[in-house]
Amino acid sequence: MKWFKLSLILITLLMYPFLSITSISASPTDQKKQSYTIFHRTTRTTMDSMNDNKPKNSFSTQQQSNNYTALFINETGIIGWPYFQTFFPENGNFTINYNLEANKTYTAFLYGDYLKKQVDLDIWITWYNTTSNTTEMVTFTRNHDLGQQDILQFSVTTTGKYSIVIYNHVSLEEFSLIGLILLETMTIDDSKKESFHVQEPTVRPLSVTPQYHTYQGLFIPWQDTYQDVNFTITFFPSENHPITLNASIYPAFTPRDLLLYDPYHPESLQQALSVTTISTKSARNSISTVLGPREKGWMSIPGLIIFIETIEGNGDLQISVNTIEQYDIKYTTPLGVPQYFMLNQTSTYTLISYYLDANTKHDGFLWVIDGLPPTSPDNRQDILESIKLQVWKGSPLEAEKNFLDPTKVPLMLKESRNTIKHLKAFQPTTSGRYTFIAYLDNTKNINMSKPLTLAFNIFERWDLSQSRNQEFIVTARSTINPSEYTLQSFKTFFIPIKQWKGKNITFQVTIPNSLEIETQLHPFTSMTDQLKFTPFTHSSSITWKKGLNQQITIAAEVGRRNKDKVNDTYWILSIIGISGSGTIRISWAAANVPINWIDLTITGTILMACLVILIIFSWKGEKYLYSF
Amino acid sequence: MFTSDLQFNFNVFKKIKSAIQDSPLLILARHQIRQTMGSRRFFIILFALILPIGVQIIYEPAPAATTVDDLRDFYEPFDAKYVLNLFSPLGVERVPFGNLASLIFIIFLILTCSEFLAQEYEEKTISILLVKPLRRSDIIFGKLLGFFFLLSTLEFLILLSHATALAWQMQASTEALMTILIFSLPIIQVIFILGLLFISTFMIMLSAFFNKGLHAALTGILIFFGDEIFVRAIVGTEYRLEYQIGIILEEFVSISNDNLYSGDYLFSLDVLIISITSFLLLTMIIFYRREFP
Repeated sequence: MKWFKLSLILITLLMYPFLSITSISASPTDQKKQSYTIFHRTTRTTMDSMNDNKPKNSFSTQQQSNNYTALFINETGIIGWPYFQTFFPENGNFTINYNLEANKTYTAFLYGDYLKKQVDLDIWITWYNTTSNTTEMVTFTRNHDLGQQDILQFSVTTTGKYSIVIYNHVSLEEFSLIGLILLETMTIDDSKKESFHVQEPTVRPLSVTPQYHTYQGLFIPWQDTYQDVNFTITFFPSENHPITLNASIYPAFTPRDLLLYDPYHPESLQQALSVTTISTKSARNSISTVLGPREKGWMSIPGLIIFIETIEGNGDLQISVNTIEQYDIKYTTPLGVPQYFMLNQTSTYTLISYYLDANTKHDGFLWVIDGLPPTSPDNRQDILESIKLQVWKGSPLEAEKNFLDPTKVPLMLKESRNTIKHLKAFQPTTSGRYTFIAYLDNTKNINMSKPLTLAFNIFERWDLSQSRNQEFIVTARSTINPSEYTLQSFKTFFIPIKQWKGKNITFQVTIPNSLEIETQLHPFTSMTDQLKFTPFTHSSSITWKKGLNQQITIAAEVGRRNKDKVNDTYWILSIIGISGSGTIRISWAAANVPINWIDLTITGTILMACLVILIIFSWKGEKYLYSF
Repeated sequence: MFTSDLQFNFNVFKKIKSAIQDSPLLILARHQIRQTMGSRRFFIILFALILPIGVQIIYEPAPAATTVDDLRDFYEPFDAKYVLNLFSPLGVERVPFGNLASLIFIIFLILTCSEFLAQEYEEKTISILLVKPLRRSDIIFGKLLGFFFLLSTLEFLILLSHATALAWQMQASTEALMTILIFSLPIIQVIFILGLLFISTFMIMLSAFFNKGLHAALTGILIFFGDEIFVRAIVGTEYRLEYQIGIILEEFVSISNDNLYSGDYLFSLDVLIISITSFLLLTMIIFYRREFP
């Protein structure tokens, strides 16, 4: 019996770590085992849920001894620290208190496996008014769809103690685990700095391990300008206060694995986009490059989460987000690159998305390459009339959602009666992602024997009369093989040239030594030209030059190529970045083409001679004509 | 001093005025204008000139302009095609009712021009004209000038009103309207004048040759439609009037996205000037050498 007791104790001790893991999958029905946390930690602390001011239907949380590693300073939680909770029943709630500062915006993320279940959880933000000793509601989530993400962004007007209450509104199913994370929201405009305070922890967590110090969580909401481009996040430490800290950047995926938000978990670091250490001692700004969302396959994430682990010092830090104009054809669509697609009876629409700048005019072309019936003109006309092009503001996902909703109206709608549809001088009012939807309107009951092959291309328009110089910044990647002319174009200008007929136009491209580029000038005149047109072939270009020269000059006469008369309507100037980075400056000048004086003199002489003959004969007609 | 100056100036104006009024050329031109305006054929020609533009304005309204050059992009090709179409009755229809308008315009232009001299022979009024103190060339040039002045002024007004109506329809800016009035309209008008000169001088030559207006008209119609059919089919399109004026027009305005008329515009201009001069000289020779009872 003695041996039996001893072996039982030994087995219990040995099994301890495994038992703590099993609490993750603790049976939800077993409500008495309300375990707050989960991950097997070596440290232990006592958790108090501190429901000082319980809202109605409050779910009483008992003081329980568990292995939760959360840290509470003066009975409040730390921003950026994740909190976990297992199932609690309908109308039950779970409260965490925070000390929040006035005039700051916060974002609360609720996540977990409830997302795919028939559960509706709400977030309430309440404030304990110390003067009147009452609890006031600040805000709450208005999303009451089952299994939907709850993100609550709120601002605080007075500094004080706030409670975040997770309220189980409806739960038709049981969930095993939810997590909550509260972050300070940094709304950073492009190239603008935002400062925030970093504080060395006054209370150290019970953890002895040095890397697990206190955290501060920041949330950078997604902006249109970050889409499709790579951007850098730069930290600027102030010189007066020496600070050394670690920052790790995570994409804020909403229905993601819980452990990825737990900065203590070793695996979460592997999920980080970048981990950077900055220090004022080295007097260097810390820059971490974040790849564009499409490159990573993120289409609709709300933003980025930055966990900051202060190690030494207190003080202010500045943070800025700058976009890099860097294209990668695998994931982005630069302007000027034709997009080929097919439309048939079954797949009736296609989505083409571009990032367009505000107050810049764009010219788009949709044209039919193949698939039109040549023999029956009526059917051909019906098919052409059923091809339509819509423009929507937003990502392809948003555009598709709006497109399928009959109550929504697009920004612009064009029908195609010819084989080419020209979307002329489209000027977005705001910068951002615009999605073009080409589709077949099947209301006409068209019969198609084979699918239509179409192409869509959009260019940035440059009206020469408006500006004498055009300057822009381009960053090219050095990995591009110069021998391969892929669909890589850094800048393409669509230049209306018709009014410059008879002039010689010279474009001068000034480039730094660090950059090697190629410039091409293409005609874009007739329908055949448009069909043949690919901006990256030399054969179709008027002129092209390549190299490391300081200045590249390309010139051509409008309306004439050598001695042949051509009808130039548009020119396309493409800059193909091959390697390096730097600022390219483009200027242009128009000069008169020398007049062919010999031909003009002959014509003038003939004209004058004819007039003289006519005048003489009509004036002295009797003298000459009677005896003719 | 002051009064004498005024008197002098007044006398100069009076002299100029009387010279204009008494000029046999201008008297005949004015008479021709009055005669043409009184005929029914003139209104049919006017209808033919207005038809394609009217149809465009009423039934095929142009889309609203988004850029400054939108108006020019629409006006230039349309009116250039319209003018070229007028001189090519069996041409491919490129403007609304272009073929019909061209057919009416050419036939009635030939009918009107063929009667310039032939009708005078027919009605024996030529002897009345000949006894007047007039040079025979005054009769030719006066009639031609009157008709020509009337038609080109009307065409100018039509082109001008089309530009204005289009600017209003497309809600284009004043800048855009001024651009087409300065750069597009004059050259289109010049091309119309060249085409009109060619046909009218050719027809007055036939009119001087034939005794009856009908014969001149039939010959003219045969030649012009023969040119349309046979020259187009056998010799080639580039030997036709429409093509030659097209070369000149395309040098200055955009007719279409393609280069439709390739050639040297100065050469075409030379050919047209020499042709018109030769027609006029031949007319004069025929008219002077002719004996009237």
